[in-house]
Amino acid sequence: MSPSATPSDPVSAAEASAMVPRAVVIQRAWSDLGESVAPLSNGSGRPLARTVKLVLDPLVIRPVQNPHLAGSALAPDAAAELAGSITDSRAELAATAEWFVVLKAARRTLRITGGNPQEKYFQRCFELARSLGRPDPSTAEQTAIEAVQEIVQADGENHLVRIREAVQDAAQAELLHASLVAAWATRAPTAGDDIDSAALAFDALDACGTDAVPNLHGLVDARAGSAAASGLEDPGAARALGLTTRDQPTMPELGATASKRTLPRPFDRSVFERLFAVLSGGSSVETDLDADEVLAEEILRTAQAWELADERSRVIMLLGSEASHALEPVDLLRPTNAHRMLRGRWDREAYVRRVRRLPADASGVPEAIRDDVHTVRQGYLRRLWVRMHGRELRGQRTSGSELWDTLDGILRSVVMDQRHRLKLAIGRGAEGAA
Amino acid sequence: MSMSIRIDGDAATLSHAAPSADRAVIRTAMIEARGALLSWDATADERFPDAEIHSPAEAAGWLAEIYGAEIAAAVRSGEERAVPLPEGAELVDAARRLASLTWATDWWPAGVYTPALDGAILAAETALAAHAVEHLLDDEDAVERALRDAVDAPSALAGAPPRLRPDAAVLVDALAALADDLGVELHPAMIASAEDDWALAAGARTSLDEGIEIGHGSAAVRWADVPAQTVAADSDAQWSLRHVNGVPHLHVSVAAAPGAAVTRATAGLWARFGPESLDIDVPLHRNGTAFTGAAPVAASVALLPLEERTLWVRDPILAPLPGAAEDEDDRDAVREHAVLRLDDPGASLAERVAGE
Repeated sequence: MSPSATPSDPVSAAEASAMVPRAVVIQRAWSDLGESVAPLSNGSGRPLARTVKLVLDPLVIRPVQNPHLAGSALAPDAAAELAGSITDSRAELAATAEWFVVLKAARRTLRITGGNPQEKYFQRCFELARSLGRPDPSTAEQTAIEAVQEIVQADGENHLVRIREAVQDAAQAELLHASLVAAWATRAPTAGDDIDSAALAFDALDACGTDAVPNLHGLVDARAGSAAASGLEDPGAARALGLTTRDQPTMPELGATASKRTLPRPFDRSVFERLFAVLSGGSSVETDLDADEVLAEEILRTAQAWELADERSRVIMLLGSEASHALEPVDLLRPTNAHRMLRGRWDREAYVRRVRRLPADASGVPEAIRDDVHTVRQGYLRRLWVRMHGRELRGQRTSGSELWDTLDGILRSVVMDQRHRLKLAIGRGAEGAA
Repeated sequence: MSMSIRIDGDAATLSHAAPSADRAVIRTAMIEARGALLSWDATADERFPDAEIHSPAEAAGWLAEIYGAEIAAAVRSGEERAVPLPEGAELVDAARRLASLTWATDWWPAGVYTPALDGAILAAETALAAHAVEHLLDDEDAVERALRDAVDAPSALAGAPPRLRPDAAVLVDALAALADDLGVELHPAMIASAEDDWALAAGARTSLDEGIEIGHGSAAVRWADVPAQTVAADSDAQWSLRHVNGVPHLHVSVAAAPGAAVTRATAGLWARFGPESLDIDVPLHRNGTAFTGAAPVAASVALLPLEERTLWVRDPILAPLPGAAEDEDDRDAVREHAVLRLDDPGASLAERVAGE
């Protein structure tokens, strides 16, 4: 267990002006690395967003272990320490960049076309750099081919093949079904600790988008996410959040088939559909579990609070369900910073304003998108659940400093998706004029 | 606390007041950055953008790269004052370049006198420009999105005029490297045959000269009401009312932007004639170098007073309601700007290729 980030102490105006934006600190330190890290940089020499997300943060700066390096602005001492951690990794980062070039060449040799090489290879390149240093011309090609093949092997599709075999085999399916029934039979609501989780949630959401780091610690310790999930058993409650079409969550089917296009709402998905949603499409599973263990864990997960396994994910569902009230056209009684910013993003979209202002058939927005605008909170929470579920399967944890990025990123992806559908509809006369 | 930055001469004015939209949308080049919206006058040679900063904490990571350290610090401390503009800032030109390309994608005024831009070349340059400022963009997938629209750029660039071949080759190489990094497959270059369907369609007959004309007129088409590069931006839509076999027919025709047929098979354009209560809405179809449509109408239509003989051409998804006419000065400014870009060595390759 790693300690979670603590919130920054209140800072005086003088201290605040001495604070340096974290992104600026990273960029300055990065620019000292020069051309050696060009393959990890964007067109103007800044570290790529993926370089920060996949390499610098988790492997070099490590804000989860070093909470004082987390906030979006840093005191001078912390800024110097963060810059130092990047400078000290100069050789490893340069070697990572070289390995990336070699792995991309191996990818071409092996005629692999699926997936995003930066996403798939960056972390492996850093590991290679750490263990082997710079690529040795005599062995690098072979090493790279093995690494790329290994990444293909770790691909979720391979797990999925085995999982599909298991659920489609009558004898195994019977056993799996029995464990599903057993898991649901012992399902019980969790009482939260006797703390004011509403106040903690308010503080965490109010710290979003500021220099402070939202504190998830207290909420996680108090099992506030699990406690909130007991409300999902009330008739219609989980449906109101868009997580099911049923009146109450029920035990899912084991399932044996799935299709990306017709996935039901999260709680209505079969066990197989839940795994399929994460493992298909080439995303890798960064976990030590084999396919049978992944399947067994998923069965247990379905019977837990929010149908998620990690208290941290449940706390984020709680915070997301609270913050997403901002997407409904109602006055907010006690808006936090997160509420204000989510509402700001949503209200900036012209098509959203049109759908709200104009009668349905006069808005020009195709019906399917119109419906999604009216039920955006449900769509938002569905997507948030899918994100948290995917992170659990990949063994990724969401830290306090990533909370806002997660909550805001979900809404951004909802908006980008709707904009894209709208763009496709233009020029097709999807609805005609009449 | 949100803030706005207004550029006025050689100073930036910082304020907490809500910004007023005083620039016409058709001449606004924008970037959605992390925590802020940056906007320039697309037709002017200005370097620094106005900004609406909705999250100063998020924008703090890059503001100095666009506005220099002093303005970034003033935003951080929430000061409402005028700050002199710096000589330059590291990324302001790169950001401006991306904004110009995005503007061209949305508003390029292709028409009878202004050649169309190739969408794939534009997307290729957009992908590279977005890559240069990727860290400050709100959309984390902006580069991939543009790349997916650029998969046919190698073919389009293979057809670049000889004088621009060296630049085209540089762009193809840069695009290929970027696509390789992100795992996007570009389509290999093919010999273009894009004009074929254009030539084919040109032979189709219209029925515009059938019957006896009992009235005609024209109306400007708002650029905001139709997708860019579909309707010619320098032509009005024409209508005529004709008696055909004793029945009044409405005919509508509007010139297509050159190349429109290549990028959009159907445009989903509709023309409404007269007041909404008459319910005369005619779908327009690509017909040679124009979008045309015709429909029988009630005999009373011939009696409509002149001021009610209105014509409104639009894609209903873009324009569900009639908007105020676009200012002719703004439209002129955009068309003049476009013409100048065609042989400006500093313009995008898409613009220069179109200018050859």
